[in-house]
Amino acid sequence: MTLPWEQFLGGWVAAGLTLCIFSFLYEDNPFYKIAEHLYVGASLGYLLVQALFQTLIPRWWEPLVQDPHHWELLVPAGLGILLFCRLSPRTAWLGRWPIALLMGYTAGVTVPYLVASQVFQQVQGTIQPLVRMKPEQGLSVVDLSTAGLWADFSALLLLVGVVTVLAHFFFTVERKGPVKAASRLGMLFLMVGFGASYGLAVQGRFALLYDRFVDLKEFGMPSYRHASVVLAGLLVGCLVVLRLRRRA
Amino acid sequence: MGRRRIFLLLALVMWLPMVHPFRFPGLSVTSSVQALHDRIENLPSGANILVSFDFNPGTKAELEPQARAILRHAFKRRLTVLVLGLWPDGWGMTQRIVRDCAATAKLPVKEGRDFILLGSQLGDLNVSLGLGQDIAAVFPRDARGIPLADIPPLRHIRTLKDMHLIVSLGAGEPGPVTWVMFAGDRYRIPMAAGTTSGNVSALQPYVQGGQLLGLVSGMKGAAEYEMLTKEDGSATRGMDSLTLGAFLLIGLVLLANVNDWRKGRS
Amino acid sequence: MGFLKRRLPLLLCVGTGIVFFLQYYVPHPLSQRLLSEASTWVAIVGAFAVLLGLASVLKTHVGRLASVRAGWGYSLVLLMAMAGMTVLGTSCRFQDADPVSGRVTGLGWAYTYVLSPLNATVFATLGFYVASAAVRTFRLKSLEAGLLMATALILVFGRVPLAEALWSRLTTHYDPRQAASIPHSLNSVTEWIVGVPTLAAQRGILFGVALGSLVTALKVILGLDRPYLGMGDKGKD
Repeated sequence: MTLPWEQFLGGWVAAGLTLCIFSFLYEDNPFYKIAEHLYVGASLGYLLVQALFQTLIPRWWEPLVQDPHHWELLVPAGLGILLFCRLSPRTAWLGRWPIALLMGYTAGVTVPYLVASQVFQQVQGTIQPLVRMKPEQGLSVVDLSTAGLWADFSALLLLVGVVTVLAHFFFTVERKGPVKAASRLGMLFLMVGFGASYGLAVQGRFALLYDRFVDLKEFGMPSYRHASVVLAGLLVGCLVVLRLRRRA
Repeated sequence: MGRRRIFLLLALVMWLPMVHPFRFPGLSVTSSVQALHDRIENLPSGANILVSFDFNPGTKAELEPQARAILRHAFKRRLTVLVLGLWPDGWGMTQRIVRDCAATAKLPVKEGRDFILLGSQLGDLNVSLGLGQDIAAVFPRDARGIPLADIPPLRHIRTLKDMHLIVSLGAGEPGPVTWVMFAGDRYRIPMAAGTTSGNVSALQPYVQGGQLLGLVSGMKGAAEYEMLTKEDGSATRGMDSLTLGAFLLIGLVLLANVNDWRKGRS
Repeated sequence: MGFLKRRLPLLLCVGTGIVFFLQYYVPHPLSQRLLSEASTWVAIVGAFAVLLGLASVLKTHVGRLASVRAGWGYSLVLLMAMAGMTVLGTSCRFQDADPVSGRVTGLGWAYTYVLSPLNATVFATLGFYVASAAVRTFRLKSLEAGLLMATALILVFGRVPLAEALWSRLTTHYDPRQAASIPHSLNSVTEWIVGVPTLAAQRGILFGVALGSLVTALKVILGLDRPYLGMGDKGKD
């Protein structure tokens, strides 16, 4: 099957760049550094174009110049231009105004949402499995959960775990007696948590690896003239030459 | 064992199923994947769902199969799907995934009627907050450059409150937590998420707290979703490599511990 | 001058913070309109901030190139990549494919065959290091280390299909048609580990981070913490 030329060329480029990044597994080398800088440069260029065509043009320039004119949009533009004053030490203090506004806005907006989602909801989630309300009895009666022994044990373990983990991070009280015991228990819960996170992360990283191998396999097919194989051979050869030159 | 030998062993072991697929049995569906599947399955035809692609190619190995499985299911259920992205370098990939799913869907799926690619914006919490007020203020045009007012389904969809479900596919900030805080909890919109395996534990508090009705985790979660929708997708095929990689790792760790114990004894 | 350099930023921060803190609790349409306008303005200022960041990177790398310092070749690669992507993206107005013909544009090609594989491979390389780190550090040296190792291995083992099949064979008669309904399956074990002790640890950490973020945000709103005042004039008025 004959591929379109841009797909054929793209396959060689993608395989080459993938192998250059993987070459870091052997040792740091110029091919890796070139690929790394290419990645950073391409990302920055993409970010610039996106900022222009997804935000600045449709949400600022077009409403400003088209009828009806939204002249109030000159204010955020002015604030944005003030940010550039940071590039010069003499005028850098002008950049404080837009940053102060952004920080105030973000802090003010975030507080109620943090309290609602990350504090109240989480406290509710910790206590709710242990406690049941019975409105059908005419008034709310707080009753211990009857979901089953294992569910009750799990809910209790959850509560104990949350409290002891918090105790572990409480540094303003001297660690002795019950506080020390709670802190140690919290540490054990943390070890279980970190172990689980690590185990899960391993599978995630293996999945990312698998994806790259799938691409390299595709680019090693006859339709791409075995790009992966040829480029891998060339790269290994170059790395060997580099190593021999360093030794000499 | 030297580091490079471990790398080589791992690469060989993961490459093997790609040459000779094993199709290991035993995949079973977890409750949180089942919950998301059931929610989408029970949405009426024409219901609105927002899918936020909050990832870049760095995590596409796990999140792209999830996105494809969920999108195909949504298209099959004839839901109206709004798509946007919060990660700047993920938008190119997002468009390709959505249009590819639409092109390969069993029923005809048309951009501008069944799905709308809104665009990608920088600004995490700001985007969710803005969408909660007015979608057209955040995305004046769709990815094709057409003003939202000229897109028929968007004449009845003004804000996030018109969504029946929000699904955030992501593994960092901005991502599922941003959507939970600034959209799900704020406007009481049902929310679900898909995330990488490494980020699953970080989202557990929201799943257990009821803020996320379902969570698809990693490539395994995508494979479970493919099993529920009876599809043979890339995630199912990838589980073989993950299985062998996992067994290799366990074997090497146990071997290293036995070795240490023997050295300690002698 | 002291007012413009120190007092005014402080007033702007405190004022904005209080207004948008109270906005959450005011359901009036004007309050909603304020939030909508503010989010647009912040997005625009944010886009300018992106341009500032790029200008800063340009300044560093152009400087390195001009003075021919060590690594100037790599700076040239970076600048060429940035320029190339910008030209491609601008020429096709950030479209990956032509809206009429569907043909892939230059930007679409560069994204698919340059940016995407580089991005994916940089993160995929960590897979090797994660495996190597696990083999070299997981040792039964103490209760904590043992718990860490055991949980990690259980999760690694428990999330692969073959393990589920083996576990079922060990614990009960294995029938593939009933795989999903076998009680006390390995899935349940891993779900319990993630859903109870791991959840407890994560929730404790989440509370700590949330309370810390809350305190920091309140300090910024009340003007007790002024990180923006450290910029410019080396902190002097």
